[in-house]
Amino acid sequence: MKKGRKVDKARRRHPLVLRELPADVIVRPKIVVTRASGEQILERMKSAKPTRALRDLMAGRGD
Amino acid sequence: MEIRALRQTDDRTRFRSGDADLDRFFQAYAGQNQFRHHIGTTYIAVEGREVCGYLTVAAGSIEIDDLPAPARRKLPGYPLPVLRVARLAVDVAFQGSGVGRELLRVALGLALRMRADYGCIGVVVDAKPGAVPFYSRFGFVPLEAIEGLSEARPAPVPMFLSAREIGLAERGSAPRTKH
Repeated sequence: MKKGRKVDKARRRHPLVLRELPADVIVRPKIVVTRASGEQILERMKSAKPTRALRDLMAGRGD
Repeated sequence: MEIRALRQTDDRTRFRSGDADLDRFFQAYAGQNQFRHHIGTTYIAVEGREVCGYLTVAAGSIEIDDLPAPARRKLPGYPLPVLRVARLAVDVAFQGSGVGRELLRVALGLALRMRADYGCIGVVVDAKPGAVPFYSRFGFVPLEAIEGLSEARPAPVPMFLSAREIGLAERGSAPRTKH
């Protein structure tokens, strides 16, 4: 299938998905956050440390 | 207990979490989402043939709104890839037995794989209001979202956990080897 046809098919398919599924079921792929939240995200990407509960979870240890 | 991707042959009709919306999604739409539209994947925790819980994930992105020029130098003006945890539910018969934690661990593992394979800065979960304390314990922080919120009611709270924290937690839990 040529690239143009694939793009066209995907474009036609998106509204089909929106029609077939109730709005509350669809997960919006893009989330837009405020600048304050954006700064918080970037800070956590740079320097956050895992909580004890997260370390235990990833180690497979119970509560 | 095994955790694996949903199959078309799995019986979803008997699943009851106590939340009508989560049950309706699993029974009526999880299959369509995954096998027909390919817009999300559901993982199930199974004991024999019984579904103990499920988790639905999808690839997504975060954008930061309204960046004035000075902030643009510091903050990225392009979408940041994330793993979106859209739903997590446990059958009433298995609630309190650690199934939810195991499903969350699988989701966080998926985020690390995504980071290694094609980029992911973290996980965004659409937390039911009652589940916010559960996610907070693991370091998830609430986000103020302007767009892209789920239309489910009651409105879920978007929460973020960085892949950095997940990676550090995983590394800290790996057995140390002598060289």
